[in-house]
Amino acid sequence: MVPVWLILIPLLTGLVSFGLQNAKAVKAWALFSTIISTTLIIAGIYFLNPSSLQFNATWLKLLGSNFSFKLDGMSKMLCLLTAASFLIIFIAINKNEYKNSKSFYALMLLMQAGFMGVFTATDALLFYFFWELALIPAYFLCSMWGGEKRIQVTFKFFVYTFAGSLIMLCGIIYLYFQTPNQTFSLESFYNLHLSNKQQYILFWLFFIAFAIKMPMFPFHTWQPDTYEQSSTGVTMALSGVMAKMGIFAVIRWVVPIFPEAVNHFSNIVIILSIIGIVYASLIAIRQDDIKRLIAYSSIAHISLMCAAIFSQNNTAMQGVLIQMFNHGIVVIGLWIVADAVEQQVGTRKLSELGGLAQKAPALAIFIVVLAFANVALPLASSFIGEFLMLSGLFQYNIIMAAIAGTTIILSSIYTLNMVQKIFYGNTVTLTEKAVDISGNIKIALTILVIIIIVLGVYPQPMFNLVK
Amino acid sequence: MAITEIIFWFLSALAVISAIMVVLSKSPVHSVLWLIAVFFAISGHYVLLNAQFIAIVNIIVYAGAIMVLFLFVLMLMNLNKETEPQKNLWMKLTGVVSGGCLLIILISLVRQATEIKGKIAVTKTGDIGLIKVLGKELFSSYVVPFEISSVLFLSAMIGAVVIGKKD
Amino acid sequence: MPERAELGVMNAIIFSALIGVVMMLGGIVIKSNAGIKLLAIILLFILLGSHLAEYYDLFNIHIQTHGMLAKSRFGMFFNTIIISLTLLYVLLSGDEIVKVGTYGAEYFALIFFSLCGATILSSYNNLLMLFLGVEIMTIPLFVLTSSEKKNLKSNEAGLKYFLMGSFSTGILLMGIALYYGGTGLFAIEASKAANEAQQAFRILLPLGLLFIFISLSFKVSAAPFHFWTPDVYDGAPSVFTSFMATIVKTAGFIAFIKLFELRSVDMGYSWKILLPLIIILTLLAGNITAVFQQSVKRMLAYSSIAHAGFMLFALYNPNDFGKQGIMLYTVAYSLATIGTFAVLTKMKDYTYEGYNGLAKTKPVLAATNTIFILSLAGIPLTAGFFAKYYMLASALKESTSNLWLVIVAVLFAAVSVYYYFRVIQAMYFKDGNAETTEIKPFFKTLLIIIAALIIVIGLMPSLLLDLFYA
Repeated sequence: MVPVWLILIPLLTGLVSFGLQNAKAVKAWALFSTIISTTLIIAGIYFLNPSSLQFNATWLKLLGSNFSFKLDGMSKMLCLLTAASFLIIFIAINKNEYKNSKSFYALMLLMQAGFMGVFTATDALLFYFFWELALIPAYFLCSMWGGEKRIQVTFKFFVYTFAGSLIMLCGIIYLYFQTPNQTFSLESFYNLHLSNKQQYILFWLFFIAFAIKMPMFPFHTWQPDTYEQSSTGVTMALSGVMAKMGIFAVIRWVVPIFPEAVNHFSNIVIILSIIGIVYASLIAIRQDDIKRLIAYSSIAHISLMCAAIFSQNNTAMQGVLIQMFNHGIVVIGLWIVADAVEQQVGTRKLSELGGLAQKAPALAIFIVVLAFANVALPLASSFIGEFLMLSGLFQYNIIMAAIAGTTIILSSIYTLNMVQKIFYGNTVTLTEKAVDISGNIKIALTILVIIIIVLGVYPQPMFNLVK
Repeated sequence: MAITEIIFWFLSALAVISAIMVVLSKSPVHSVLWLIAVFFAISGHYVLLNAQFIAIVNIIVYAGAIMVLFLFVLMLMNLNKETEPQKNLWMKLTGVVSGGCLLIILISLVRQATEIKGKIAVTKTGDIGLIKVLGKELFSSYVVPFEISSVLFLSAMIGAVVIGKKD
Repeated sequence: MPERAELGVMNAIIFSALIGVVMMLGGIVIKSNAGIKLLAIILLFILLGSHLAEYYDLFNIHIQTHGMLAKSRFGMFFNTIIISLTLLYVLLSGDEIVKVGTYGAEYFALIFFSLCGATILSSYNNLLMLFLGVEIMTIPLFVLTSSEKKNLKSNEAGLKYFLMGSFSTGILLMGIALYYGGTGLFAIEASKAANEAQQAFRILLPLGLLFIFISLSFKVSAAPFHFWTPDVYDGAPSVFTSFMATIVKTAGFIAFIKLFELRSVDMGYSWKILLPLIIILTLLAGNITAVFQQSVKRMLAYSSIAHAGFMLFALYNPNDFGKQGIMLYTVAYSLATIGTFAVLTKMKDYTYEGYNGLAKTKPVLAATNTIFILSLAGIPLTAGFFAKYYMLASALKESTSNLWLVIVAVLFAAVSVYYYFRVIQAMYFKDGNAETTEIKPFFKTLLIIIAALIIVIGLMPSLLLDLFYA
């Protein structure tokens, strides 16, 4: 029952929040909901009976689709990431004011329910349902709150991802008719014997949907605009969790079902990913807007994960699994910092900032740790993940690994450049009056930094989890 | 020459002459009147073939309703010689060519048709065209469509009233 | 088959015709608009009751039909759906119907007659009945389209519809005549013996079917025979557009499927080339043109063409998925369209700008309208998703080589999101002061009920389909 509750808690609390009137009450209610979710998933991982991690009920008998969920290693980790991310997000944005805040929090919780469903569903139709269910609240969240151009930008994002998922739906229906007793269950999909030709076609039907979601070069064009324009709280959820949906889905739905096609197309995908890594990193160096910089950096990191998956060896896969969690944590931290800077100073332009370290020392300490984690320095959690992924790629192809490895150098350039421009140097007029961050942001960042350092020093629990 | 034969030739001549007059007469109203004569002549043929029902329907529907409609339209539009559109030579030529093609096809069809070779028209026999037989069919095998078509007419009538009546 | 075909005419046909007459005469006695609406609703309940009585074998009128009509589970279930939908439609938009002109009772009578035509189309077994059904269904619509006499656009639309309708009727008659020439029968299940006797005229049968196909394509507005649709749907009073775009259109599809399920083999291989082409053209024409519209009403007209493209899948693949799918599509598409048109008729301005800020002024209307739009776009959790799903599945079940057609169709579905979501954007994200006419609590409640139905079917389509098999 645990997976069902993981979905039901945010879903029900989200629906309830539509009815709440007081902004404070809504915030407390959302926080309460995520605390329960987090507790539940931790309990599910460490304390509860493994049999409670599965759920099965008939749903559409005519179609052979079941209401079935399962928490395996990867799902456990991603559910933990989802619950923890939303908890941290809600803490970090606690002081922010949103117009019509009850809808904001309600939609956030509904989106969380969608994420949980995607990560736990073991029935293709159900998976598709949650995949879309996560998208609809995201559409409303991004369109209602955010920058000037948010409506057009979000629209592009929505049409892109919707087109992708519809193509995936074609693939799902195709596979459904291939199964001997016509079901949507993941297991029967795994047992299919598809000819090479079928695999080659179906692979792309699925992969394009996931590549758009990650996003991967050349399907990434929606991402920087959307991340920049939407309200930062939403961006955290999008890049922290939603981007992982793409990676997760490739590992769960593409690699085991179309092994032959993965083998056949691995070169193309890895080359595209590497182009994505270098291209996104180079653009990130040129960015002036903090949010766009983080957005491009996120593309680079996700592309590396995608390349690692397709190098098809265990080392890289291990790296991808733990990096999904680590990247989520780090990137949320970066967004919190970006948001704090914007709240304090009122601008996100690097050229207009400077000397913030004198005014906000606590923020400066946090950003330095986060920057190290983003660059993947040893002792920060991302180091292990990136190291494993690159060594996996190395086994696959040395040249590719070498080019992909530039990501570390390039990311140190743009990350440290950003830190330097914001925090060091002389104060400018804009940063004159800045004060240090408020308590709630401190709490959120402290949690993140603790996770980053603990997992950086002792990553074993993470390996145990995803085993 | 039997009386039916005389009537046949008379009707045929009437039909052909009237049809030519439809085309030749200058006034559109005269054309329509000649057309009515054509329909009457053809209805006469139907009677000769013992197809009374079709003969009557032909007169009621074509010579009656449709021709009256034609006349209405012509008179409402007030066509006369001055307003008659000038047809150019090309138009006439294409008309002759297309009409001629149709004539050739029809003639060749009749010449090739083996079914009618060496046979003469059956007059005064057969009961397919009789009203009695038709009525029986209509009220047995085809009773459902016959009855249901009343709904069609009713809705058409309501429609005419709804649209036509002044508010 | 003959035993079943011989006996029994459906209650729905007889009752809808009689009720139409009662409605018309009721107009003489009852003068108030409210009274007329009430009478229409009561009569619709009677119609539904009489139909259900037959559905559950309680009472039906037996008439020797000589194979003109054939009762089938498929047709009966479809009738249940369209009568219920009409009831919902009248409950929701009854006030608007009587407001169109001075002939409230006559409008309702015409709706009943049109419904009678639709019920004939769901049960015909003979091309004569097909012809009568199509005519009985459409002739009242010509009148309803031009019923707003003071409005020039309505008159124009009525005339256009009438001309196009008569034209396609002519083609239908020609097709039926050729069919008769090819088989010597009007029955749609022409026997093999008749076929062999007519070997000499074998070309006539496919040619006749092609003509019938073209004519029915006119009626369901499949491209390239769709050009009348936007003008007519746009010009007609909105309440009647709603009726035309839903009940009438889906009835056209049922007629289509009934005939071609049996006879498409006679068209040979050309059928397999012709229909995908028509499907793609229809999707293209509907979706791409809808993108450029500025008026929501006109956009919905084009989108109804796009939906016709999806419904044609059921014609192309009349397997169990296709047949269940067309039922589901009828329900999903009609519910959403009736709902969104009901909201439209309350708006003062039909352009997208007219919807700006509706979420603030009328939150219930905006929220329910969003659900209708999501259903039309085929987003999961709404009935529209399963409707589209069944259509796609029907194609892939027939043959996996249809994959390309399915992919093309979903890409067009993605295009449709573009114009549907502009309405949502206007309602929620744009600032403005959307003006509406007066809205009654009853109207709101009904909208909520329809929205709830859409979501329930979207979660459990089996609730509806189980009824089909019950």
